[in-house]
Amino acid sequence: MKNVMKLVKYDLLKSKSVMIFSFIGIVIIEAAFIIGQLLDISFLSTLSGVLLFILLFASFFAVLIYSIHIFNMDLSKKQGYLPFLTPTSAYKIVGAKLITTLIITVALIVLIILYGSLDTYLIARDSEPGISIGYIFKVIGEELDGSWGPIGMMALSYVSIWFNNIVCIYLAMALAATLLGESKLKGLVSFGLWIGINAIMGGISLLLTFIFKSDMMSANLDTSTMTTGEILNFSFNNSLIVITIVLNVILGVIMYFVTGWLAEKKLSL
Amino acid sequence: MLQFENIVKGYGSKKALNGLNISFERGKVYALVGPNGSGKSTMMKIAAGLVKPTTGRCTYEGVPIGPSTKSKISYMSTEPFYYDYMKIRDVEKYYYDFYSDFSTDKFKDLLKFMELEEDLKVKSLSSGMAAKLKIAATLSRNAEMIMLDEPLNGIDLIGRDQIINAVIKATNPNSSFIISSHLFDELETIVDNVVMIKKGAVALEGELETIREKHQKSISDLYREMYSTEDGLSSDIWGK
Repeated sequence: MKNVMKLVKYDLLKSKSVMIFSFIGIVIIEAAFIIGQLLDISFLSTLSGVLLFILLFASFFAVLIYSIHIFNMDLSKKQGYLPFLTPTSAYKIVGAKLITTLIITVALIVLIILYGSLDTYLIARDSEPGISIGYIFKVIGEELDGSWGPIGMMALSYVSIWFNNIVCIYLAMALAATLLGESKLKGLVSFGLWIGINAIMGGISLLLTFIFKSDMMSANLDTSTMTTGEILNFSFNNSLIVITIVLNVILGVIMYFVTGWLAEKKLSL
Repeated sequence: MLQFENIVKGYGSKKALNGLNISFERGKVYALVGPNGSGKSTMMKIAAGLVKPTTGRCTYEGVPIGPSTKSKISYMSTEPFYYDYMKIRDVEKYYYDFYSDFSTDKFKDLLKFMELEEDLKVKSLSSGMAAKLKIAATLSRNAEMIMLDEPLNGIDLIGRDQIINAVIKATNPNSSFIISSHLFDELETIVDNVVMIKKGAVALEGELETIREKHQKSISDLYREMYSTEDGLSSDIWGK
């Protein structure tokens, strides 16, 4: 595990310039939004607000591309010699890249929550002077009371789908670099594999949704008298979410071990 | 110690190694010679765990090449492979982090000897300086097996002397060295065994002196004779 964390450290160090640059960009836009709100310059706050929203959500795609990039560099460039020469198994090298992606994803979510809270406070302050951040959290807490479990499960299912997708891409890349290494169609075949696995997962999810369809659809409810938390509680089908998570975890683990095995036994740099 | 058994490595229709059989013993310094494309680098990369053979078996002390053997084998590739962001001191940290046999003091001494500053960025180094850095990092590991792939490639005369002296200083009875080159002359002073590779297989191997006495020729002359003829070796050499 010690070597895995060292590999994570070097994967992060490798891309520190890109990350610092992206972080500074987000901070500058956030600062523009705050200045726009405080000085009541609506043009500035609207523009920066829209930019910030786009940038933060585009960051998830950037993380995906980054995750592909760090693995691809090790598979196709000479710099891959550095990790693969160390007395560390390929399973750990692949695992380190997934942990690096997880760390960046979590950092991004924290950043979105922080900026989201601050921006909501600044907007709410305009319509209700004297309001505090604590009060906003209290209102949100009351609205969602009792539904934190399903929300957590839902978030976990999205994380499992997200990571399953990355592991699937890693498997396709490892296949292209090993067993399909000499095929002219390796890129196409590995892309097809990625699409195929995703299509299977999508099909299973659709089937499960059909089997465990929400009671919300058949019930005749008066949602106007319910809190958001009650509506969420009713509409989330926990069985469906749990099965989605379990399926993604099982498939993700299988694909991770196949990727590690290919890199350990078949990869020639 | 390090053993190659019937190793074949193919890249498409071409075979970089074609039934390679050889073993390297502890405490000896080997020159691995052969022209460009003869399979020297592929052979070293298989021992370092970077390349997997198509068929055959490569073992170090009976253990198939893998994470455990990588802790005992120090390998220097001919290509530059450090990360772009790295300064020389980052290379030192990297080796220190991953190799328990890495000696920081030895590395600092070698940097001084090679006239390299720790603050220099790897990306900005000239090819000669980059080669010296790779050699310093590789030799700073107290590894049982040290493999240097073309360490003198593209290095000026002064640099060559520095590298050869560094290798001489690093040799010890507990470590084996395999040094590859497509020119033998430059290695003659530091090796005691020669392995000549041709078309992915061992064409000639043995102790330097024994080969010289047996063929009544210098190794350089044997080298020229071997690689200048169309089918490689004259019959008297094949009948070694």
